[in-house]
Amino acid sequence: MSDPVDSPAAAEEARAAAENFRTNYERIRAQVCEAMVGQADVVEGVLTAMLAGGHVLLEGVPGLGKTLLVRSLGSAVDLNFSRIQFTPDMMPADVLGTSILVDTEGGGHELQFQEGPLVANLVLADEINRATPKTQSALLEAMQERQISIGRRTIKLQEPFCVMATQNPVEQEGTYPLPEAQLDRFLMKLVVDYPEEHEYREILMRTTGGSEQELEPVSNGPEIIAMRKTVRDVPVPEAVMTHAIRLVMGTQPGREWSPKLIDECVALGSSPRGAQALVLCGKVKALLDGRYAVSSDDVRAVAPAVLRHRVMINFHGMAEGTTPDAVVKAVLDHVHPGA
Amino acid sequence: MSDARWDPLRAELDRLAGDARHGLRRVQTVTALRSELRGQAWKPALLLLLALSASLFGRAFEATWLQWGGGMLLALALVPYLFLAGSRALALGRAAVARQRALGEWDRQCGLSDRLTAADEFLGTSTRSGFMEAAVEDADAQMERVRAAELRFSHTPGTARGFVGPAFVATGLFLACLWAGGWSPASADPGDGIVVELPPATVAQDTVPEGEPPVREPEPAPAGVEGQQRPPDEEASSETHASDAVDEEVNKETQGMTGSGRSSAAEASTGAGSAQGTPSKQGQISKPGERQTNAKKKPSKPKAPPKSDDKAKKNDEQESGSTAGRGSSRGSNRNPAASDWASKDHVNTPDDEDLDDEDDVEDEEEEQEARGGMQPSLRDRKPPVSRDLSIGFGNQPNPDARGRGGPSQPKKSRGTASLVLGVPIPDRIKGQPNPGKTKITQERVQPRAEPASAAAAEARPAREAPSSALRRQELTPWMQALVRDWFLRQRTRTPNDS
Repeated sequence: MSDPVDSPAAAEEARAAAENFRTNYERIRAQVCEAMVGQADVVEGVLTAMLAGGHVLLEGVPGLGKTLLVRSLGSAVDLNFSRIQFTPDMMPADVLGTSILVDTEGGGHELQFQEGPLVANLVLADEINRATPKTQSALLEAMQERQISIGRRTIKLQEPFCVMATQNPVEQEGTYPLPEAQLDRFLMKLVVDYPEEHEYREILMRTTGGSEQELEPVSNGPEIIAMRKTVRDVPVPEAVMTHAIRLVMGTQPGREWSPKLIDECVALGSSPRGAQALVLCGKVKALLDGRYAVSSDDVRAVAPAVLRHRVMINFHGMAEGTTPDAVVKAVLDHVHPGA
Repeated sequence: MSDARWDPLRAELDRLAGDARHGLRRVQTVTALRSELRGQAWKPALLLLLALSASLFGRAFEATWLQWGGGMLLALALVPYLFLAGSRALALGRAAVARQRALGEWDRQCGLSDRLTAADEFLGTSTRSGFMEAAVEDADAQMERVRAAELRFSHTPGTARGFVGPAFVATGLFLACLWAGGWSPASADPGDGIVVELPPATVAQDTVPEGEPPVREPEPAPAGVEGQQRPPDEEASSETHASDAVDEEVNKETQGMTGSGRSSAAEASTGAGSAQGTPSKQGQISKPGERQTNAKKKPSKPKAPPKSDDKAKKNDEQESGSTAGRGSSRGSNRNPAASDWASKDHVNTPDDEDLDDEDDVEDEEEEQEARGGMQPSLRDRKPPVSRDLSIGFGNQPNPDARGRGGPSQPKKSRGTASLVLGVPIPDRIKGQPNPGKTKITQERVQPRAEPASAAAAEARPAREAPSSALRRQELTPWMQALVRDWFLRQRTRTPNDS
C-alpha cells in the first residue's frame, strides 16, 4: 500500500538513482570512446549488456576493434580483467583452473588449486569459436550460475561478472560453432561493421602516431553493481511485458504470433531467456532515455541484438538466404504493441 | 490506497481514454466494413456469375425460367451480402476498446513512449515503488503536451469510400458482363422471348420421313394476336430471327445433323438424341429412308463405333512408331517422342487388326519381358506367415486374448513368439541376375536446329563482394612428388625430344 507522505521522497530517490545511472554511463562511454573510434551502437550495446547483468558476443571480421573495445572497457572500469585466447588445443582446465603440484617448506610437495582466467570480473573470450565444444562448455556454468565447479570445489564468481566473447564469421576453417545452449546465455549478440570514411581518418590518426592512448578507470565494481540494481528497479508495464512475450513467441515456429516466414524458415525460436533479455535491456534503454518505466519502443529497439543469436534457421531458410536479422525484422513487423 | 494527489491526472486520463475510444470505435467499424467487403466479395461475385450463366443457358435453351432464375439470383445476391457485411461491421464497431489501447493511441501519436499507459497502470496499483511514482510524475509533466495535441485516426470515414470502391467496381463489372452476355430484363420477359415459327407445311415436308405420320405441331397463334402483343420493331426482328432459324434448320437438314428422322421415342430422350446425332455430324449425307434404318440398327450394337475408333487410334499409333508391332519392342509405340513421320519399315499384319480386350494380359506379359526378364509381380506376393502361436485361429488374433494372456498381434515382438522365424526365406527368387534383354528403340527423327543465343565474350570484372573462407587445394605427398618429377623431366628434356 502506498504511503502518500513517502511517495514523493521515493520518487525523488528513484530520480536521483536514474540520474546517477545516466551520469556514470556517460562517463564510461566517453572513456571507452577515447580508444574506440565510431561503433557507437556496439559500444552502447556492450555497456547495456554489462549493466543489465549479461554477457555479450561480438561478431565481426578481423581488424574492426572487437578486442580493443573490450580491453578499453576493462581499462575504463576498475575491474579484474582477464583475457582468454581460445585455441583448438585448449582444455577446460586451462579456463577454469586446476590443481598443480607445488613445493612445501619442509621439502615436500602438495597439490594446490590454481584458479583459471575465468575467475575475474570482466573476461574477454577472444575468438571463442576456435576452442572445442568441450572447452566452450566450460563456460556454461560460469555464465549462468556465476560459479565454477572443479571436482568437489565450487568457486563463486565475484560480481560484477561479465563474459565478452568475440568471434569471426568468415574464417570457419578449424572453428567450432557455439552450441545453442551457450549462445542462449549471451544477452546480446552485436555485429561489428566496417567503420565510416571519417572514422577511418580518426583511426589512422590515433593509431599511427607516436603517442598511445592510455585510459583511466572512471568507474569500479561497486558502482557497476549499484547501476545494475537501478536497472532492476525500473518497472515494466503489463502491456510492455505482453509485447516482449509476444515478440519472443513470434520467433517460435507454429505459434500464434509467428509470421509465415518463421514457420517456413526457422527451426528453433528464442527461449524464455530471450524475453528476460528483452525486458532487462529495455530497462537500460528506458533509463538512458530519461524515463522511469520501460516502453514497447525500448523492447523493440533492443530486439535485433537480443534475438538474432537465439533463432536457428532451418535448411529451407538457409537455401532461401534468410538471415536471423530478417527473421527478427519479420517478427517486429508482424507483432505490434497494443495489439 | 488511492492517492488524492493524482485524482486530476486520473480524471484527465479518463477523458483521454474516452476520446480515444470513441475514435477507435469509428476506425474499428470502418476497418471491419472494409475487410468484410473485401473478404466476402467472392460471394456476390459467385452469385453474379451463376446469374450470368443461368441467363445465358436460359437464352440458349429458351428456358425462360432460367432467365428469371438468373435475375432472381442477381437480385438476391447483394441483399444478404450487404446485410451481413453491415451487421458484422456494426458488431465489431460496438466491441469494447481497451483503456490501455486507447491511451496507447495517445502515447503513439504524441510520441510519449507509453508514458500515459504506464502511468495509468501504476496509478491503479496499491503499492507503488519510487520508480513507479516517478513514472506517474513524468506522465503528469507531459499532460500539457497531450492537451495541446489532437488525435488523428488513419482510417477516417471519409477515406472509407476508397476501400468500399473496389467492391462496387467489381459489382459493376459483373453487371456489365451480364449485359454483354445478352441478359437483360427485356429479354427475360417470357412474352418477348424469341419465338421460332415455321410454316406447318414446311415442317411436315422437311422433317417427317416417308411412311411415318407427321408430328402434330401446336396451332400457331393468329397473326393479329401476336402483333398486338409485340411492338412492330421487335416483331420485325423476331421475324428476321425466325427466317434465319429456318435457313439454319434447312442447312442442318441437308447435312443430316438434326436427327429429325428419328422416332418419337428417340426424340423424347434428350441424352440419347444427342448421342445418336453424333455419327450424322461426320458429314454423311443420308436419305430419310436410311435414317430410319440407322436409327433401328444403332441400338443393336452400341459399342461398335468406339471399337472402330479404337482400332483406328491403334493403327495411327502404330504408324507413328518406327518399330511398331514387333514383338517385345511394341512398347515403343507409346513413346511420346515418336513423330508423325511414318516409318517405311512398318508392315501391317492381319494380327494387328484382331486386337481385343485379351491384349491387356498379353501386354502385361510383354511388358515384363521388356523390363528384362521375369520380374516379381504383385500377384505373386503372398501374405507373410502368421507368427501367432495360438491354436485354432490361424492368421486371426485370438479374440479372447484382448491383448493379454496369449501371443496376440500387439505382443508379437515379445516372448517366445519373437524368436520364431516368421519371415519365410524363399529358396529360389524369381528373376535373373543379368540385365536381361536389351531393348533398343530406334526413331527416325529429322534433325532440327535448336535456337540458342551465342554468349558474347567479355572481360571478367573484379570481385566486388568480400571473399569468404576459401579451402586451399593441397596435393597429397605422392601427387606432389609426381608433379615434381613431371616438371623436372620437362625441364631436363632436350629440344630434340620435343
